[in-house]
Amino acid sequence: MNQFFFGDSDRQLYGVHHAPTSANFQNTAVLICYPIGREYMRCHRALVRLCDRLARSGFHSLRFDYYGTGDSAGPSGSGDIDEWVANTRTAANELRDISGAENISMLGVRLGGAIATQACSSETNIDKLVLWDPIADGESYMRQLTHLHKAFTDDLDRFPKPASRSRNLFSDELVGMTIPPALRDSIRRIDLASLESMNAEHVSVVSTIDRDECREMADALGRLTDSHDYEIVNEPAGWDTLTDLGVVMMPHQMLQTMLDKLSTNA
Amino acid sequence: MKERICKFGNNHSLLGITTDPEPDDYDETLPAVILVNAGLLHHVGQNRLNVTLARRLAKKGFLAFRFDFSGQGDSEIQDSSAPVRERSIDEIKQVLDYLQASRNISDFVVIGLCTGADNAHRGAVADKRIRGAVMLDGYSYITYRYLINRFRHKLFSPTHWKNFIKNRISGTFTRKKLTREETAEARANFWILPKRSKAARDYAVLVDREVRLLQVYSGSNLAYNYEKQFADAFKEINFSNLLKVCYIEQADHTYSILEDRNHLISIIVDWLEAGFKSRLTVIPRRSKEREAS
Repeated sequence: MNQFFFGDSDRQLYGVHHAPTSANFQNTAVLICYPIGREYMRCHRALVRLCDRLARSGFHSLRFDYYGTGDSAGPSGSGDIDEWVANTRTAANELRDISGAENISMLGVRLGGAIATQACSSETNIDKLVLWDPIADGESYMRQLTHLHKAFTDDLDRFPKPASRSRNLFSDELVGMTIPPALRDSIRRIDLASLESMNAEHVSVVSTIDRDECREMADALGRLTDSHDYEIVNEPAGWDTLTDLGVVMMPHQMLQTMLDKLSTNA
Repeated sequence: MKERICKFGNNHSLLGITTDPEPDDYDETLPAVILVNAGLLHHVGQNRLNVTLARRLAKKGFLAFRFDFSGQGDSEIQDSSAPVRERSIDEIKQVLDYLQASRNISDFVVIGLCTGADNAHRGAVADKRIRGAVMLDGYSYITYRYLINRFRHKLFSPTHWKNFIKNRISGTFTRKKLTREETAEARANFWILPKRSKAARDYAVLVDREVRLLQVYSGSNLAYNYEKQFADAFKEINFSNLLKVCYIEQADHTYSILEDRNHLISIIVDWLEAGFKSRLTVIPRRSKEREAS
């Protein structure tokens, strides 16, 4: 693992490069697009393991934090979707420079799926776009987060004291994430089904629940690409479940599926 | 403020990030502040707590250092047959060695939440370079007043009785049996509360070394229910002015609400300034404080 900052010095992004550890060098490198907030913390460990496994299969990969998230510059809540899509393009260029690979594949998780898809719409030489439980409809995602936040703040195990509930807990935050209006609005505008261009050779949508939203999205993106597939991995992620909010996940079956999707016919 | 990535420790396998104050703000007589992992979470911290705290500390002149234990987050696995709890203390020492060698710093403060509090406590006991420790939902021991509070709360809480009856009917008192793998992971990542007598001996050692302690408890901690519980549990120890205890009743365990997070950060920063800046003869110029986000 090689960690580094990249991008503009006053808006630097934190990245972690995993170099291949096998001689079976692949000409495609993989860019990982994280989700945000609790979902980011929950799947970070799993994505580190995935990158380790990609390295053993001969792939370069890069994980990075968007502006205003993780270790990247900027206070929480300071970025928005447009900026994060631009960050993704910067990271893709960085990965090309580091790896020397001609093609990039992208793996996006949840909101990272929406960001990767938007980045793909204007990037060139994208081999595969693999999406794990992607957010296809920003409005619906914000409703889901708001519902979860309400359940979270009503949870007597987390907030047992009356003093906890006499406050306005819906100002600019949702489940621990700072989401000011500008960011909230930019997420709401996400509508992947209406995308008009897509430069990935192949799109895979992998869902832990058979959701109409994901199936429709796969079909819509499939119309813009040469090939696509939709697969259900029966390994509940609990994205919208209160009891799983603080659980660090290690979904073995999903990781294997991601690895297969990214490495097939490489 | 400038952040730098560091590879350190055995075989340079550990990942850390220093947050340096602006040169005008930096005071080399201040201790460096080490932020320890909470459970399996990587060095960013839940709700970005460690990043926000590190940047806020740098604005106050403190060098902050967040890092990952081996095999966690962005650190590689170190070759060691030692149990996880022993390894984490050794790795805290590797952090101190690295900063001492590279920055010529000899005084440190460690901050940890949950399992991180356990590591911060044991690290402070084990290494004399640690001059202060902040334990967030760290060790707590039952007192008579705690029991009275708890009994009174349960007796008069409609929610308690509602849940009690519901659980009896649905049979949820039956515990889920963990797999062997889950049990091993649970053992590795959750701490066991030491006996009160052992903790008291540790605190006596720390007081003897004049280590400053900040114990912060959240309202979601079921083992703690009033501010003076810590002092009541260790009445035999004269902490003098070395101990500060805060009970943030409205907060959850990971300070998920922004208001609580900012409150916690202010408590830690104020405690550090009061305890470690008072020795200064020259107060460095400080930039205007910005609200933590």
